[in-house]
Amino acid sequence: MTTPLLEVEGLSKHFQLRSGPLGGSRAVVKAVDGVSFSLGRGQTLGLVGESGCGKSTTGRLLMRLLEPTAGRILIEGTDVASLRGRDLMAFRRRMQMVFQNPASSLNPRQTVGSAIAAPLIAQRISPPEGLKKRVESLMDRVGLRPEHYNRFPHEFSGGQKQRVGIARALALEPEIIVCDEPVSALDVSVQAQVINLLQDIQADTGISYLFIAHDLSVVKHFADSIAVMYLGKVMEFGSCSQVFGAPQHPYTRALLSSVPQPDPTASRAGRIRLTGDLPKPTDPPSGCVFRTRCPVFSGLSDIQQRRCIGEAPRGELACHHPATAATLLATRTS
Amino acid sequence: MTQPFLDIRNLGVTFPTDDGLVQAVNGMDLRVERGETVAIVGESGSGKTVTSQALMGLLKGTSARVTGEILFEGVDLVGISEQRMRGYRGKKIGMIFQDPLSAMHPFYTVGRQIAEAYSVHNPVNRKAAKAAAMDMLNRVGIPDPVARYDSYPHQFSGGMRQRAMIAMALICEPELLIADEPTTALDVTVQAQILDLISSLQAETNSAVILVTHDLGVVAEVCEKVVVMYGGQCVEQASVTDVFSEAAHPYTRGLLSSMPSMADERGRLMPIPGFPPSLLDLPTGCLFADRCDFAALVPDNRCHTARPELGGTAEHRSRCHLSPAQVLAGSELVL
Repeated sequence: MTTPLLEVEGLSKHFQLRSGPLGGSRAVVKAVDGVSFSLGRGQTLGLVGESGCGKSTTGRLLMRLLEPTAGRILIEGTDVASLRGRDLMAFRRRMQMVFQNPASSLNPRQTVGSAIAAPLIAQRISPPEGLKKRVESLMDRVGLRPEHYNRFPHEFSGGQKQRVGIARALALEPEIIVCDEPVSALDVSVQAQVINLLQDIQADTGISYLFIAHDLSVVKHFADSIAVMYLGKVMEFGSCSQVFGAPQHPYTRALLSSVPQPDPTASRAGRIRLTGDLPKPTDPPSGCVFRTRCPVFSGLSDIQQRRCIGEAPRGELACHHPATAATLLATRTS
Repeated sequence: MTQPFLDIRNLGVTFPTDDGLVQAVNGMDLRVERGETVAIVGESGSGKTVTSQALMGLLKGTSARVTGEILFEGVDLVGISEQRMRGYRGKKIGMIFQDPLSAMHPFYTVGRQIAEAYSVHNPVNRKAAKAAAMDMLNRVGIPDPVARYDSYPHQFSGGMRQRAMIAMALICEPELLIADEPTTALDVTVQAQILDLISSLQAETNSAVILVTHDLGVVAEVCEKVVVMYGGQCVEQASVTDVFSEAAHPYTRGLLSSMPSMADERGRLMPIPGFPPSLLDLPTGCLFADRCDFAALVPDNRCHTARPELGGTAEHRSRCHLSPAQVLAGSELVL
């Protein structure tokens, strides 16, 4: 088997919080806790989950915008989690990011032309055809016109600003782009334009995407494989058809059946509704983090429950009793 | 014919700004019957929120100019004084806002704010108001309402805050509830809970609900009737099944085909080209003409010169120069 382009092993980020007015005991938020997944060349990995599940933190860790507490980030077998100085600079050429809010990720006083040129200047790359020509061809690639070169971000609509963000990420011809909710701030009709653009770029260049989103229908449309996160941990990781077609984890099932269906005639029977809210990240449940909201937990036997409380499940399917869960959910549906 | 419960006729809202007159709503028509759930769908800037604000009388005393009629049980809410509006607001018309954190007062406890909404419209003492608020917190599914009564909004999670907001809006048992993007700020699992809650409370009280949203999935889940807005106008109004199966307006068709769906096999999305018109400078013809693939099918460039009327039957109205049958036939031609 060939090594995947990107491999993440046991990635963790723990934030220390000060609690109490005098410092005192410190609470730790395990924003990302032992996350593992892999991404192949030319593929798209969708990272999904509710707010606070650690998906954005994971993206920022991969970009080395945050220092990981533990774990490895391997790009073609080389660990980039500990790169420094010149090596880190060279690594950034291979991986770029598109941010959620195109308005706040562009400098309002910088023309879009110079924003797109910034990565090239920072990396001291002088394109043979000249900097301006290169920027213009990038703008053309994302559907902006050359006369936009000297305009400022406020002169653009949300969708156009996101195109600028994509052009800037493409400037260094990276192998991976981390897209952190790239279309969440956009209206549906514009969202489709940006998704199509990202797909066209992938078809042309064979780039890989790590696509972070909370909108499951967008991810299903776009991704080849999916990692579902909950409270800093990966609950289920697998191919798109596997996770969406035959979800194994009770959380994945609940998440999927919560998505509103744009079809008034679709059957509304047998849906799983989660009760309550996310537990406090400073005080996550012991063992399986999902057990407090798990729709099947109460139906498990004492021995099974004890295992959920005592031991954290690991692996691509982080559930101790997927078979029992499937039976329990199936009987409820019928 | 009997008087409809709520009848909005030719509603217009304009805001004077330094750049000129912003025409946020341009001739909006909407009819709601008692007990109905109606969705107002549109993208940002389509005027859906401004319409609901006008309905709630929240534009009184601002620079906005409101024209047309909002007939609520036969009374025109556009013309009445702020004094009289207060008798409706909260009492007969309740509203849920998108962001409950900014809609609630951060310095007062959640319980006190709900009790206040009750005591404003009901001549009761503080104790009775508190009891009513506790009861309401319980009905919206807030665990341990006795302890939660004294919590502040920031101590609640997003979902609980939205529940408290619903409690506040429904405590006087209004006949009409306006929910302006009630679940947009929430995660899907919590969104599902809140939508279930709104539906079940509506079934209990038989109040009418206007749900303002941009999410067609949410519409299909809870609504019976849909009004699609574009550029401050109603472009299509129909039952939810008709909108999803036989949309008569090219914009509605565009919205549906640009949306990725969980059910479909992945194909290429069909985005609507371009972007919405500037509300400062609306085109003279159809507001959607510049982005419409069907405009070429209409003779004499009429889409760019004449603004279409809201036509069709009472059950299915559409604002297009083409008839629904022509749009249907044309969609095979242009797409």
